[in-house]
Amino acid sequence: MSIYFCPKTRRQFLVGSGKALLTLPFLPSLITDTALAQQMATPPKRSMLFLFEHCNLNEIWPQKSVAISAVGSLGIRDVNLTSMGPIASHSYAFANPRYEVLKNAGLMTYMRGFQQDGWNGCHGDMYLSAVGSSRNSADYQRPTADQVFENSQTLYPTGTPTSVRKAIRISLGGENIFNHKVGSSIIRPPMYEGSQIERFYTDVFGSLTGGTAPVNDLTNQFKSNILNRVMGSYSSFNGNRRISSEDRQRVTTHMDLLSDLQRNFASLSQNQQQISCSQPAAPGGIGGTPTEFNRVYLNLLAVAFRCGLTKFGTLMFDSHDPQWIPNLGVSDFHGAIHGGQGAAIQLRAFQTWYRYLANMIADNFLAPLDQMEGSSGKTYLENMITGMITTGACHPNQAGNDGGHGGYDSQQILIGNMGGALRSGRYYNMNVQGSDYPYNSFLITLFHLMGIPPSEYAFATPDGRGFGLYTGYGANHRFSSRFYSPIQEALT
Amino acid sequence: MNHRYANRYISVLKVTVLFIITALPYQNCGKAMHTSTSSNSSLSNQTIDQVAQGKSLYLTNCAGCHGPYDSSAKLGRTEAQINLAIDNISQMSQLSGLTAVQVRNISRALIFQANGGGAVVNQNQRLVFACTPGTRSKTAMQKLNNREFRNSISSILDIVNTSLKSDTQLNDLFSRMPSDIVLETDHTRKEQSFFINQNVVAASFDVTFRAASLIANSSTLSTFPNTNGCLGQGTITAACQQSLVRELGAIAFRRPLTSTEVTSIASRFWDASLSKVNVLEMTITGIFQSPDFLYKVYDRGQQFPAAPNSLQLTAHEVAAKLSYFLTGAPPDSTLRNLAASGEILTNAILDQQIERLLSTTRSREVMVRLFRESYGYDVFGNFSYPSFYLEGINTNGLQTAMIDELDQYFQNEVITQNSTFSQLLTSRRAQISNASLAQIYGSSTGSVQLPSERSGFLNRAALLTKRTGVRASPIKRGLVVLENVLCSSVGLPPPNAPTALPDLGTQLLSTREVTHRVTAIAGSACVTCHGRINPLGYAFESFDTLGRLRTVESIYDVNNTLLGQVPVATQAETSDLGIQPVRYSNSMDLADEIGKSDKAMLCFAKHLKSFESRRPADASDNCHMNDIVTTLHGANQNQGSIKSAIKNFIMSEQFKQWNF
Repeated sequence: MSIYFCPKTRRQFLVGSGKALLTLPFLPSLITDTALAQQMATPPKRSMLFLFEHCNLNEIWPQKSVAISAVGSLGIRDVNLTSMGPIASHSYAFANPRYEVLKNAGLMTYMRGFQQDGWNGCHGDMYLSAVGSSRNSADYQRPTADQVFENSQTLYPTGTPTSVRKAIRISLGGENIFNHKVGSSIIRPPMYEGSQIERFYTDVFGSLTGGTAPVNDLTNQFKSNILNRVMGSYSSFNGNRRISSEDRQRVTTHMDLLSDLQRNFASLSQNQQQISCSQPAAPGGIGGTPTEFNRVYLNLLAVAFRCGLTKFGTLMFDSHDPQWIPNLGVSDFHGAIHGGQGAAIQLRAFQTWYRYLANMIADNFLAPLDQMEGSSGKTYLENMITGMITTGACHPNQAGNDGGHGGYDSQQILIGNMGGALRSGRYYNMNVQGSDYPYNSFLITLFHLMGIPPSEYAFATPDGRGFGLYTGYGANHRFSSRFYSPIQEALT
Repeated sequence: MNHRYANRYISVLKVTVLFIITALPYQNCGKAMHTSTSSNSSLSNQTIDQVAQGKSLYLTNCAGCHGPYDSSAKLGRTEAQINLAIDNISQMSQLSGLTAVQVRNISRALIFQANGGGAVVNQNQRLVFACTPGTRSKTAMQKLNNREFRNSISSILDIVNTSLKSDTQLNDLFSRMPSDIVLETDHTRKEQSFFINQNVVAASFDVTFRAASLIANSSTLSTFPNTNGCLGQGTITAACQQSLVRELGAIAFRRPLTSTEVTSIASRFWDASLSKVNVLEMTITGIFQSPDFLYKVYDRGQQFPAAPNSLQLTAHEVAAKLSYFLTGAPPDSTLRNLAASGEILTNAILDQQIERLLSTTRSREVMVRLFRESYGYDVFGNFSYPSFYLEGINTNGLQTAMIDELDQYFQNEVITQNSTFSQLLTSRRAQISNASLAQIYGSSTGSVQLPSERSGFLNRAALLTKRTGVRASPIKRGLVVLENVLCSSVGLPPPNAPTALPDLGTQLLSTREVTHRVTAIAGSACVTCHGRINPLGYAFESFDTLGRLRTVESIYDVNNTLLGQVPVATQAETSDLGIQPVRYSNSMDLADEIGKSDKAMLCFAKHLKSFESRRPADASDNCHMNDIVTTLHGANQNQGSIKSAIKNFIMSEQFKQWNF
């Protein structure tokens, strides 16, 4: 009879979970086909960016004033996230218990206080081109972030197998989002919309050998999923109830035992599914419902990263008509988050939307990557950067404002730390004495973390300077010397 | 797991080891009661003076060798024992100048402290616990034990369809749950409310997942209350899932959920990409696995003024606590309604409901648990006897029959007969369903009055049959009385203590005589503890090791050859029933004295409190336990009933508090 409890840190739990956890619905059977990623002694740099457009109501995030420790000499401040209590208590969107685990493992990073209003444009400007045929400004002819990733020789040297997709672009919120303007022409790079998941599957996984017969029994995986959520109940209970410290410890013990059980189920599921990098089951027959293709896209993206089929992916969620999401409470989401139905509805719709998607990411993308990667001693998640980013914003980012698409005081969430290169686990206030940090620099920081040298992104742009657009900042601005540099304060 | 619980399991191991040996001399006779020092405000002036003088004398004359008064190695020593030591131990001869009164007062002080200083004499000259008004004992958050867990799941299944709880797979999963009734301390097996390990968690999950699946696939789900039939639709909407969370959660958590809770739980377990059945399975399993379901937590009430860590239980919490305590099950619809209206908080209604619950079948199961855990009659060692000795008694199923007999005895006496504590010790009523047991008792089967030489629970076979073989054990029998009935601990025997009585060759000596010679010779190291244990066991020498009446004891050699017979002697004297020594002529006499003993009633109060709180009672429980004790004392020489004591215990303010 075992009665002694060996407490595990969240970090241990994360690693432990990672060894066994897999949540890949619809990807039951794979045959051996050694992954590009697994061949490498050093894990490759990878980045997946989820774009949450097009609002940025900061009520759902901690206020910048929580960051009280000066970091660097410029005036940026930070605070350790673990000192701020349960993540769900200060970040409405992160109700899924995986975020609490990741936070406690030092793998969550908040960066708040960016400005990209210089573009004065529409969804995702600066990060993506997002041009329509009517947009002829030279500004729109500059390279965008996805192009930088895609064209990087460092990321994809000559000889990279053609089966590797240099950039996977998925838009679930508008077909024009990835358009690039070259001269007077509009170029539409390969991208996928919701209804194009089968083409996506063929393009990305076509090089892999077919798998064995699907395993139909997903019970263990389902149980693992349930327990993952149950642990959220325990976190919430321990954080809110009037019980003695001894009882609180017992609840923690119970929670750790539940996490062990979850790991067992996940392990069983993993064994059942014979994980290796082979062709996953085709997503045929899933239907065209957004709940299904959103989830399956996330699942397949996780496999693509695990199997080295790409190093960069980006997915934009639907922010115009996501009325399929439960409890949005609006029939016109787009109008609601522009404040057309009042501040209360605006906020509720926004936070419900964001939380639903964040939950889906946790269960379907983060979970399968929360596993040890080869002999690196780290999980796939640690070895990469997953961003939950936003650019367009309601100005000044508070409920009750319409704001158009201005980009002030935006907040970026990063998960993982690229093998330790990002100074993660913190909440950064990037606003210095009232001035927001240039959003361009955030993107350059991502380039840097991906190992992309300046020579691959600081090429001449229409204004003759380098990546990004800084029309909102004067030459003598406090950030002028940093326009083309990564944010050193956030690097190790 | 904190050390308190870990230590409990360590002690289980110790007791297990101890159980297989016959312990003779004991060392470090421990405190007689678990209570610790508290106010002695209700102590009579005379007793205070005597104890104070004894303490002063101890400090002057004894502490140098035997340690500080509070932790003296000689706690519980009787006047006779002290005189014996003065006469026989050279180092103590210097104390021969003490007067008899002085020695008596030293003894009083040592016995008083051995009781933890917690038992005091009240204005009626009765022993009660020293109560400091306002003392609040911490309420530990109990996990549902297996019995409660099963009842709770079944109650919810019944709401959907009463046939669901008969599901074969579900019952198989229930049966695979690790037993939570374990040998704990002092020869008792107790249900565990704090025990948890990986197997427990896994088994609990399997059960809840199956139960959730049964509900999710039930054809009668559309009739689930207050869900407007939405659960009967082909698909499920988020709103429908929320209504399920609100309604099912209220039953599972034994209280209404706030709208925030409903939203939070519903969203946590909502996944629009899943099928209806999967959504329901996930949601229901999630609720069943929630701490609010698996733990009894009563923290929703209002804070007491000036006591920030004390809360007044809400009506729903009172209903839940009451129901689990008396039936091991969640509140039924009657209680839920009375909680919703707040009526359960009125004394008249509460009284009525206690009476109602005590008449249910489940309350009889609770009585069984209470008395088994209090008096340990379900704990046996080996049960093996030479065939010649059995004289035709069939031992197949006999142990179970013995336990069943006492189970029914306590149920009948407490619930049906409304017996007092004294009657519990002296009643001759019995329900005997086993022919061999009837043979042992010299009675017929069925509902009978036992022979006049056998009354009360102490004289029943389950408590007399404590040893295999042909020689009964006064030590084991005495220990049961001392530790389980009087709550006096004598600690563990020293490591070098012999584990069996010596082979006496062909000497025709009674067990009592042999036991006395080996363990209770004046001046020996053993007499300290055995001087207290043995006399209590000697009273039962009129019963052989199977519990049959005898007037003579047959003596066998090591080859089981009969050497002859000697008369049994059952008269003895004990100082463990109160401050004054008590003489008795046999086990009937002793049982009668125990039935009137304040110490035995204090002990029962401790058992009841410990059973309710699932932890050893301590001084912070004294006031609450006095509600039991004073009811048992009764008035005008008439004791109150056990049932009344339970009722007053529940109706007290302490029962309705949550202290964290």
